[in-house]
This record gives sequence, structure tokens and C-alpha cells, in this order.
Amino acid sequence: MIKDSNPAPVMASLAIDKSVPAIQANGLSKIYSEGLVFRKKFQALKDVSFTVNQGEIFGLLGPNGAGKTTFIKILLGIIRKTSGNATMLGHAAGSRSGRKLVGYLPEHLRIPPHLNGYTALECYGNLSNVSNAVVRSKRDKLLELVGLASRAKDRCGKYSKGMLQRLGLAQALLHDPKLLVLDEPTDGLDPQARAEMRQVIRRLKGEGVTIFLNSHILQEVEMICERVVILTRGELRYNGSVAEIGDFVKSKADVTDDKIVVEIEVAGAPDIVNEGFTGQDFEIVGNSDGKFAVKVSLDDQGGVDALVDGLRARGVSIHRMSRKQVTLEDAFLKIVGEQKSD
Amino acid sequence: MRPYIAIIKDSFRAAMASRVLYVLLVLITLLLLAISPFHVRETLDWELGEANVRSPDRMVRRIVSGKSEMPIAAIWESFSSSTQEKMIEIVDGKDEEDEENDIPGMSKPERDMLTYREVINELNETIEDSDFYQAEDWEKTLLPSEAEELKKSGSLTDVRSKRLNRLLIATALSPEIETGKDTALEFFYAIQSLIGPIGMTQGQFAQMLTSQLPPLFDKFVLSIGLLIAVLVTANLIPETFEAGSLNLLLSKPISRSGLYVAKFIGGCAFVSLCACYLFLGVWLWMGLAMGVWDRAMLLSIPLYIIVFAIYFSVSAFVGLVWRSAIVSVILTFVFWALCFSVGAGYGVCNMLMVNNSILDVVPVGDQVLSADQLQQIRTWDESKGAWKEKTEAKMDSQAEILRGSVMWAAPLKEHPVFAGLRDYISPVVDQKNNRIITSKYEFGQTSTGKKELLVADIGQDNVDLKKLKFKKIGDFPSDTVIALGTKNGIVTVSSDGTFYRLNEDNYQSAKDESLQARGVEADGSRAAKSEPGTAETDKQETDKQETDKQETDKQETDKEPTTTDAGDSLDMSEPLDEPFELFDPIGPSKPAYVRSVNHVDYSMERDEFVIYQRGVLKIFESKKGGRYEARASLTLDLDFNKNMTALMAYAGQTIVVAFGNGKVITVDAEKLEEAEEYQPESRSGIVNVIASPTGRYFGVLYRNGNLWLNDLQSSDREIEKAKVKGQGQICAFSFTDDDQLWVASDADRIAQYDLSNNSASSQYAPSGGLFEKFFRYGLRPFYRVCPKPGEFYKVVTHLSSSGDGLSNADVDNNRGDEATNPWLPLWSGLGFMAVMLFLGCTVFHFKDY
Repeated sequence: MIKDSNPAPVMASLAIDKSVPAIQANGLSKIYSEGLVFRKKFQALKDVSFTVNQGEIFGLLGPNGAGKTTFIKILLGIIRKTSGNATMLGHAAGSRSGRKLVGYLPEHLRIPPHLNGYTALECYGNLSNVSNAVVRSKRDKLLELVGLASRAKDRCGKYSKGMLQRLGLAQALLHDPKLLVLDEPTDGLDPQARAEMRQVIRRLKGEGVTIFLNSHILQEVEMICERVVILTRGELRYNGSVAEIGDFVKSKADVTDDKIVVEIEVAGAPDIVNEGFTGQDFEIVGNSDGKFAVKVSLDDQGGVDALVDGLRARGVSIHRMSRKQVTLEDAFLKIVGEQKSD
Repeated sequence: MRPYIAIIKDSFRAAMASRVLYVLLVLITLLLLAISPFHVRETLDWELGEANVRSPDRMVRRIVSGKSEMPIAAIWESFSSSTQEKMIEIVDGKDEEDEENDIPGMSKPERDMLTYREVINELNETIEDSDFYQAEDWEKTLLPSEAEELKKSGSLTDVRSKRLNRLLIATALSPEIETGKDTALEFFYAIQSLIGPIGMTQGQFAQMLTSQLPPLFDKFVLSIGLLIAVLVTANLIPETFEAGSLNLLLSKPISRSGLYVAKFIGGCAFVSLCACYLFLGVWLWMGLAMGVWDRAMLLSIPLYIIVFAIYFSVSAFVGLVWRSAIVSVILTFVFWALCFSVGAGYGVCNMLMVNNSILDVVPVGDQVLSADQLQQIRTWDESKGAWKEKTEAKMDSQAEILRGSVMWAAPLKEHPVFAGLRDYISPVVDQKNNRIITSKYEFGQTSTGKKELLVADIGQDNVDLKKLKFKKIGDFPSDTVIALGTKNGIVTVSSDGTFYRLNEDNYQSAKDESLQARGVEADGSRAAKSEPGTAETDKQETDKQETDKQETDKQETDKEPTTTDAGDSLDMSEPLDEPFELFDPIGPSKPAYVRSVNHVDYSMERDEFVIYQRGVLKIFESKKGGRYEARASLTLDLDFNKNMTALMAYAGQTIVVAFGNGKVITVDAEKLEEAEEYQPESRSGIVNVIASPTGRYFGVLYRNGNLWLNDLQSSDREIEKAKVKGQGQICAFSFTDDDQLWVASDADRIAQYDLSNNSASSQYAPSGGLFEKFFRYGLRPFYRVCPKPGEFYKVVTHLSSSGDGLSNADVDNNRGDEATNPWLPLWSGLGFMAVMLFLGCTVFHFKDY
């Protein structure tokens, strides 16, 4: 299990220079070419521009094929950009000096099966130019942080997917990176471990590390990220705070859609309940034990009051009532849906 | 460097974690355990082998003729009565067929051969008899110093007693039986003796072991090991390029090229571990059990890692591009097949070129004759820009067919079918009589066989060589080893050491007869059978035994039928009715056996012959009546095996002797003392040593195709690599009377050099046919750059200290194969590997993952 009980800091103290963005992309584009003779071209990124500030937890969202991994690979120099430019902590994306400052946990991490927890940290630490002495001084603390202390001497071939992810996080922290790029960090983790992973991420943020998170689990992103970008088909669709994404969705939506959505759970005879909602834009979304869950769109608060009065006048019992908020998922689906309809 | 070392270290960890590694280590352990009981012990050489008997027939005759006198009587008594009878039968009834004693299905020579073996077996039983030596039997015999020392040492061990007996028998039957080497080696497996004492020194054994072991290892043990290694490591690169591994690696602050190269080096860890274990084990075994501490085995470790690395560079590149272990394995084996095909194709074509290459360069005035490996004499045809064979000396059709069938497989001179070539008589210019003589190769000819004498007149003004016509005049004396042009015409030397001079009167008669037989009008009449007064007088001077022997030889020669050969431009099918005695014996009264054509030479300036015999130079000077008699002998101060291959030249006052270990010694023939010692090459055998007729220069041609020259008139008298084209591919050379140098290189190209300024004055370079062009400009360059992982044993053998004349004085580089360019596999392999790594790094650098 991932532990966050150790009060000692995980990272060496980091000085945050707010004037230098952690990540900055300006008009970044990438076109893949395939085939030797008849080359097929595919544009994975189209003129993407955004900035990630130091010290924040930043989410990168998008459906499959949106260009998220392409963006991360360009940042880390795994692939080359076609046009535009990007920097990491002031260094050109992909440069060796920039990569020195980054810790990376890739998706589908594979660690050679002949290594164990210790030797894997030694190997990846050395690859980040960390001496064996430093690795030895940090490895127990890191393994304990990610909950692998008891399995440190076991061969990685015997590790589960989740354990490999944890070891991957530990190796990413060995060289005290200023920027942590996490690609699906909770993939393969159980719910409890996910919660603990979130705690670790928040703790790292507290120690000054910038977290750049790519995750499919939108609730998770909503819980820990301050700002997100949403990519679809290589294009940037949203860049802003999680809190403001509802307003963004609304601002992008038509005026007729600017209604109050209320979810209401009522009990009563079906024909009477149906009568109570007559004339409204409603949808029965649930029906069990004589209770009906109804989602209804109303023009304003007066409409809400009138609906409640009408139901009560007909003897319908109201068990629960809530006003529906625009979640990240809603916004995401809305934004992605718009892109598909384009 | 830390990140790259981490990658290499990880590969070691992967190797250590591999089960295949442990299986291989166990197999190597089993191999080492299997060979470890083999060991060798040094002992004394006492056992008499067939190879130690120079002539079994003469040995038997010697025993029978001396059976009534000590010490041979003592040996005679030790034979069984049946063997005694058989020996007497051989001597008394050699030419008679005794039907009663015939063994069905066995000819007389075969019966005699059985008897010879019985005699040798019983001599060995005698040697093993500790009571054989009785002092009174040997008191009148002068024994060698080694035997005297053994006698003085009192009670003898079993082996020392046998050694003494061997020396006694060899002394009594000298020179028919060799005394043997000072030391011998006995081979054991655990406590079981496998092979009895073999007469060889530790140095010779070391050379044999280190030249034979690497090819065996290369072809068997290492082939299997490399196959396994290629299979095991095929997945290394594709595995690294799985997205989950590669993305993390590429995110680290390391260069892609560094990552690829480090991964490549790390991949060799597997082979490194196995190679270290195997070669260290074999090295220890060779040292502890065989007494051969050879550095080549230790140097094999990096060399065979390179061999694997060549294959792995292909496997890694394929793995990088296709990311598939199966494709890696398949294409690596395709690469192996390509290397093998190119190597085999080159080997065959090169052998054809070698077998067609020039063996002799014979300057005639300002022109030149060449002779190929089959002694086919050729002249230069300016109009066609090619060498043209002199058809008179052309071999018969049967030999042509056989030559065609075997010449791609092995050097013709080493092929048993063409054994007679080794004893062939090269073309010689008789300056006194303005003619060239040579012999014609007869298929199936042996050293004791008759050799035809072909003569061509070149006239006073040196005839155009294209018009040169060789005519068969008669035969060389029996057992002729060499013919040399002397002040007084052609002199031949036979293997028994007898010199013969061409009798001019009889030569003219034979020539006229030959022409008449062919319907050609000529002046002069046939002379009577030769009984020249001078020769007769000379014969009386020789001791009786020698004269008897020569007479016997002559009788044997006369009895041999005249060869009837057809197919030449001249019809030589009609044998002469009564052959003339073309050659007169001219001494010496105490001849010295000649074992090789390279052991005789003649100095025009001093009119002297010199014969080399196991470390001793015997000089024969000209005497009254044209005879030659021994003037002096000089025992060379050799610190190595005296049976080593030696080649010799004599001109002016300098005798040059070059040995198989690369050493060259010059001797002042006047002062009879060694003058200089050189060793320009220590890892290559010697092809030829020639001194210029003026005695100013001598040249040494090594088997690696390098020609070294020494100007004896220069102040430093240092030997230097000749400043001529084609070094490394020189196959023959010769000097003219005015110190011009002719050099044949690259099979059939000849150039003339003025040694005063090292400039080439004449060149004969045939453009060659389609095959030669394909070989020179296609296959050979491609072969040179193509990796040769299957030929690395040549590098190992070359690096062996046992094969280095500087480390092992007993090494005889003339025995065994010579790698023409032993470093080529290493350089071409390293070059190829570098190219593959560069390609891999380039692809990796520019590819998106």
C-alpha cells in the first residue's frame, strides 16, 4: 500500500521560480508519416499552445487518439515535433538538460523481470545519473512511500501491474525532479491505492514539484488537478481551471440550454406523478420501490417552486431533490461530443 | 558514463539471471573435465618408426652385408630366424620371383614392405631389451656423445636404456636410421598411455597444438556456442524496444546512440562470461597438462567476443528495425550463410589463382620466362598481353584433366596426385653454352623416378623467347634433385649427393639423334656410349662402396623404359634405341645426402657448391678434371631443432640459410664463420631464398608474400622490405647478372626493378580473362571488406606465441597452413561491426517511437 505517513519530505527542497513555466507549448504540431513509398500522413497535434506553471497539478485530458501521449513524448524527446515549440522548465522540449529535471512514469511500464526493487532503483537511478550511494540512501524511503518496502528484494517478474506502477513512481522520484510527468499513474491500482496515490501527488505538490498528469479517470483529475487542458483530435479544446469548466461549457452552449436541471425523487401513484410533471421538460431516470427518479429542466427558480407546489398539492411525497452541477465529466463529454459533431 | 555503465551492468544481470547461461557453463565444465585427463610427459626418443628409416631397402642390405661383423652382428643376432631369412631373400633374390614363397594376392614389393615392417618391429623389440648393450660388442665403434654419456651414467633406467639401444642401432646402421630427437613426448589419458614416445620437442608440440586446436575449437565447440548465443540474445534489442521499456529509457538524460551502443556491448556480456570460462579453462589445461602456456588462448577471449559481436551487430540492427526476435534470428543466419558463401567462393577462386600463379621467374638476357605451379614454362606474348605456354613442356592430357579436377581444392604441390611436382627441376640457364634446360612433369612421377631433359638453345644474342623451342634430349640422372648452371655448364645433384655434369659430346650426339629421329637433317654423327676417360679416372678415385652404389643406380636407370610422350609440337614418340649417357659423375668422393632442392646451391664466383644437412654446411670446391670435392664443413650454431625446414642460397662469398622459424643466417664462405643473423618475419614460413649472381644482394620471400632484401655492400647490411609493388602477394623473384630484380606478384604479374633506384623498368601484367577480372575486381575486394567471422581462428593461430619464431625457436612455419593476411578477419570484422553500429545508431537517432 502507498504510505503517506512519513513526515519527512520525499524530495530535496526545491526552489520554485514562478517566472519560468514548468511546461510551455506554442503552436506545437506533430504529423506522423507512415510507409516508405506511399507515405500516409496523420496529424496528431494541431497548433497546441498552453502553459503549465511551476508548483501546480495539471491535468491533460482527451479521448483516445487525442494526442495526449504524443504531447508527452514530444516533451520528453521520445519523438520529434513537426512545428512549433515547447519548453520544460525553460529548456527545449526533448533536450537532455530538460530531461534531467523530469521524472516520468510511463503508461504500461515494463521493468526487466530479472531486476528486484533495489536493483531496479539502482539501474534507473544510474540512468538519471544518480550515484549508487545516493540511490542507497533514498531507496528505502521511496519504496516505503510507494508501499513496496516489504517486496524490495523480490524480482520484478513477480510483481503485479499495480506494484510495477508504484515502483515506476519511485524511480521517477529518485533524482528529485522538478517536474513529474505521470501517464495514467493509477492504472492497475485498487481504489485504496488510488486514494493513496492521490495523497502522494498532493504531498509532492506541497514539496514544490509540478505534476503533469495524464489520466482517463476524470473524477480523479477533478479531485486533484487545479487546471486541465482537453485535447480532441490533436486540437486544444479547453485550457483552464477545473472549477471554471462548467462556466466554460455554459458559455460555449446555446442560450436555450441555459436551464436549471433538477433531479427529484418522488413517491406516489404513477399517474399522479406523471400528472405533476405535465408541461415540463422531464425524464424519468429511475423507478424502484414505488419511487421515481426524475430529471427535469426548468427555466428558472420560479419554475422550481411551482413544480414543488404542484407535486405537493397532488399528494406526491418528495424524498430527495438536488440541483444538478456541471461536472468535469459532463464538460468533457460535452466538449468531446461537440468535436465529434464537428 | 554512469548511465551507459548502468545499461551494461543490467545486461550482465540479465545474463546472470539466464538459465541458458548456467546450462552453457555446465556444458563447458563437462568439456573441460573430459579433456583435463589428457596430458603429455617428456621422455627420451627411443621408439623406431617407419619415418625414422631413410631407406628400408638400404637398411636391410646394410644389415645383411654386415651381419658377420660387430656391431651389426649383434643386431643381426637379435632378429628371429624367419626375419633373417626374409632379409636374405630380399638381398639375394630381389629381382627374382620366388613362386613358392608368394603370398596369394600380394606382389613382391608388397611382400618386401611387410618384411621391412617386421624388421622395424623387431628392431624395436631389440631396443626394449635392456641386455642388448654389451660393451665388448661396441668397443670398436665410435658412438655419439649422447650414447657415451648414457654409458657413463652407470645403471640406466628403462627409458634411458632404450634410448641407448636406439642410439647404438642408429650408429651401427647410419645413415639409414636416424638417431632421433633429443627428446620425445608421450601422451596419456589419466594414467593410460595413449601414444608412445613421439620424437618431437616441446616447442614443436606447442606449435602443432596451437595451430591445430584453434580451427578445431572454431569449427565445433565455438560454432555451437555462438549458435546458442545468437538465439539467446536475439530478443535483447526487441525487448528493449517494447514501449513500456523504451519510453522510460528515452526519457532519461542519455543519448540514443550511447544507449544503443551500451545495449550492444551489454549484449556481449553473455558471451563474455562463457568465453572467459572456456578459454581460461583450456589455457590452464594446455599449461598444466600439456606444458604449453600459450597467450593465444587468452587472446581468444576478446577475439571470440568480437566474432559474436559481428553476428550480434546484425541481430541488434534487425531487432531495432523490425523489433522481432524471430526476424533477428532468421536474418542473422542469412548473414552467416552470406559470409560462408563469400568465404568459400573466395577460397575456391583464390586456390585456382594460386595454382595458376608463377612459381619461378627465369631471367634470360633482358627477357624473362615464367613457370607456373606445374612447371609449365611460359613466355610473354606482347601482342596479346598474356603469358603463352611453351607447348613442348606441356603436361599430358591425363594430368591436365586431373589438374582441373583438384586445383580448386588444394595447392597442387601438396596434393598427393601431383607429388612429383615437389621434386621437379626448375628451368636453368646455362650461360656457358647459351641454352636453357628444364624437365618435363610426368604425371605420377616420384622423386626416384626418371625426369626428362628438355633443352632449348638461346644462341649468342639471346633468341626471342617466343621462338624458343624445347627439345627432349634424354633423361636426367636418377634421383636428380636440382640442376644448376655453373662455369662449366650444367651440373645436376642427386639425392645421394653425387654431382653430374652434362657431357657436351654426348649431348650433341643425343641432340642430333633426336633430330634425326624426328626427320630433321643435322650435322654430326651419333657418338658411342659414353665412357669418357676423365669420368673413368674419377671413378677410380672414389671409394669402392660409393662406386658400386652409383653403378647400381646407373643400371637401374638404364633399365627404365624411355618415356614415350605425345602431343607436343615436336614428335617425341620415338624412343632412342640406346640412350646416351648424357651426364658424367663428377664427385664428390664422400657425398652428402641431399634432402631437398633447397639444400643445394652454387657460387659462380667461387665455383663451389654448398649442401645443407641438419645444421651443417658442406662446401664442395672445384678440383682438377672438373670434379668437386669437399673443402670444408661448418656446423651452424643453431639454438633450435636442426630438422627444421631450411632454404639456402650461395653467391659470391656469402651463403644464406633461411629457416622455417623465420631466421636468416649469412655465412662467410671464405672464413667459414657466421656473419649476420636476421629475423625480419617470425610468424611466416619461407618460400625462397635467392642470392644475386654478383653476391651483392640476397632476397628472402616469405609465405605471407613479403619479399625482404639485403644489400651486403651497404654500410649497415640490414635486411629491408623490398621497395616493390605487390608486397604481400609476391609469389616468386629472381636476380639478373647485373643485379636487376624480377618480381612476380598477384599470381601472374611480373615487373623488373633496378635496385639502384628501386624503379620498375619492365612490367608484364596480363589483363586476364573473365575469371581473373571477376576475381580481381569483384570477388576479392568484396571478400576483403566482407566480415569473416568463420576465419578468426587464423588470427588466434597467428597470435600464438608458439607460432612465433621469436618466442618459440623450434617453430617451423613452413609446416602447416599459412594465412596470407591473418589480420584481415579482425579488421574486416571490426569494420563491418562499426558500420552496423553506425547504421543502428542513425536509425535509432532519427526514428520516432
